[in-house]
Amino acid sequence: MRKNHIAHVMQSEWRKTSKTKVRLVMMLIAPLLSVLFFSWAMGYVRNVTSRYKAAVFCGKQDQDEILYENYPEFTRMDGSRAEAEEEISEGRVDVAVVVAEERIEILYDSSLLTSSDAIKEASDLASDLSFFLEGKEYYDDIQLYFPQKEIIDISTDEDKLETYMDQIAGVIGMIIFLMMSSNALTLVSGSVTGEKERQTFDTLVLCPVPLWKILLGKMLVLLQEVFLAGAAGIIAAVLGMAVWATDQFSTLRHTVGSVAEWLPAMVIILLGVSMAITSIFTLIASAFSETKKASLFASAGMVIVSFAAILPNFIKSDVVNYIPVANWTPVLKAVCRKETEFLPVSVSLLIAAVLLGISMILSSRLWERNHE
Amino acid sequence: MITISHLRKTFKNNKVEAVKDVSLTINDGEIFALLGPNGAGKTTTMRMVSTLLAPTSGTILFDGKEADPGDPKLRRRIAFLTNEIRLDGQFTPDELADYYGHLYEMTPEQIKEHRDKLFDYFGISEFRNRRYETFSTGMKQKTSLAICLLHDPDTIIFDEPTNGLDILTQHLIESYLVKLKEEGKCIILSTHILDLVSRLADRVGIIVDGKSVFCGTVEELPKSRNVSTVEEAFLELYKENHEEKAIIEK
Repeated sequence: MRKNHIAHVMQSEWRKTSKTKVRLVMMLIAPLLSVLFFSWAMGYVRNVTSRYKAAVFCGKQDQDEILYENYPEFTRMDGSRAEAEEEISEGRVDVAVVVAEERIEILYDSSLLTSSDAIKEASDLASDLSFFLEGKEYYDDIQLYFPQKEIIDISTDEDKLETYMDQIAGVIGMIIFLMMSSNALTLVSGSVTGEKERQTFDTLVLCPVPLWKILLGKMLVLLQEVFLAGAAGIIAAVLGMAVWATDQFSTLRHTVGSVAEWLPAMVIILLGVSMAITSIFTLIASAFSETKKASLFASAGMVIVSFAAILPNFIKSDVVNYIPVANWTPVLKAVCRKETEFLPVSVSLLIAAVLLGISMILSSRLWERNHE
Repeated sequence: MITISHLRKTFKNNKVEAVKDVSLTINDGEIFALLGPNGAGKTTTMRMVSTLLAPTSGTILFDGKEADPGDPKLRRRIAFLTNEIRLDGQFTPDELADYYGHLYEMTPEQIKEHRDKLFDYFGISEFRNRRYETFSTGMKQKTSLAICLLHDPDTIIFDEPTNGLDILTQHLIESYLVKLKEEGKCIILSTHILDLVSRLADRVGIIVDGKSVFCGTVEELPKSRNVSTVEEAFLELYKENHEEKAIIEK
């Protein structure tokens, strides 16, 4: 009978969640909507930037100076197609119009370009150029003799993937963490601190079950709920990208391989993050008997999680792969490149589990101690 | 039988002495009323007896054995109810009975049997599928009482259980206390209602400024001060033992 205590507390906590609409919304709908919104916002920002740097690589072709007055963003440069590509890759030019014999190419890198106006303007310029170069002499057969115009995306699949990963693992990853943390805060302050605030704690303490078992049951449910919130966030991020970053998304689909290859790593890393978040917030919640105070101090937990998430920006070492939360970005990128190493991922999960155990011991002591 | 000897409890690193010296004896099959003014230390004493608080010094014996707060067997023997104790508002009485019944290691059959009996007695049965948070104060108190008694404890500690309740609910709870007494349970009752003490209690303990100043039968109380009522005796004892200094300090 005794072995069922933890499961029984878990069942009861889940029952509470299913009855509390706010908890359900916080757990699933809020991460979904927020990540979708930010995915859309990022896609939108990428496409509305009107400023861009452009150049015409014309070689020795004769050109009409007046033509350029209509295209002030375009700079005339002498150089070959290879030089144009280099300028784009280096980020000095967003879009280049390369004028060659009987052919005009519009080059851009979809993984770097942030303006939708750039290609349209470049295309217009190319049409005007082709008219200038050939059209005035063969006006009657204009279609036949116009130089061929072609729009070429010079980005590689790797470039697209890198951009995608920067978005999903960087900004959106941070949003997912913040949603998981705020979820943990709401849930744990209700189920742990709230027991004291609602004066239901005495009834629990009087039960012949050790408090740590009750707390463990609550922690495990919190872990599951935070995990689900994170999974909802990731699904929303992928859906958002599928709609608003189609190029990168199709590249990703070709790169990541079968579900069996990436799902275990994704589950392990999300579980590690959930364990770390559960540990931090349970510890804070168990130290207070008022949810307001617990919420205030939980902002410190948010800072810890956020700081851990940006560690890879400061630590350029493989050690990051072993740190829960901090290994999110590198592992996610590795998963997409089929380069996942399961040793650091597993070690980080183990570290998160140890963290959870330590938090459990300290939290149960704090929870009981505060009672007096 | 519960024997309390020289119980003392301090808080905040000994800065606050809530209970100074309390010694009482409570027998099985009796209702023991604990009286005292606000802040006298009644609730702290009852929380110590219920194992919710550990005493700073002194002993609490249950049938001659010292109480170990961590002992599950002891916890299974005790029920503690105050008018402050609440239950999870999202749950229905049925779910609460299921939850706490399992935590008290009762079998589903035991839970069903005890739950139905208590719910029928307190008139909860028809509301058994409604959320606790939607109940009136009286219904909440009756549900809390039913849940507290679900595991059939033999020591029942009630801290002002009828405060703020209507006469019908008060009467229902009082009748149940008598029924429990007849079953041989040990009942400790803290209250300010002296009329309730005269009607229900077999023995009385009085605490003033954290010290027990009387422990005896209800009949002995007025006689001990040569007065005719419990109320007069209580006031006499209070005047004799109250330390003016304590109020100034507080």
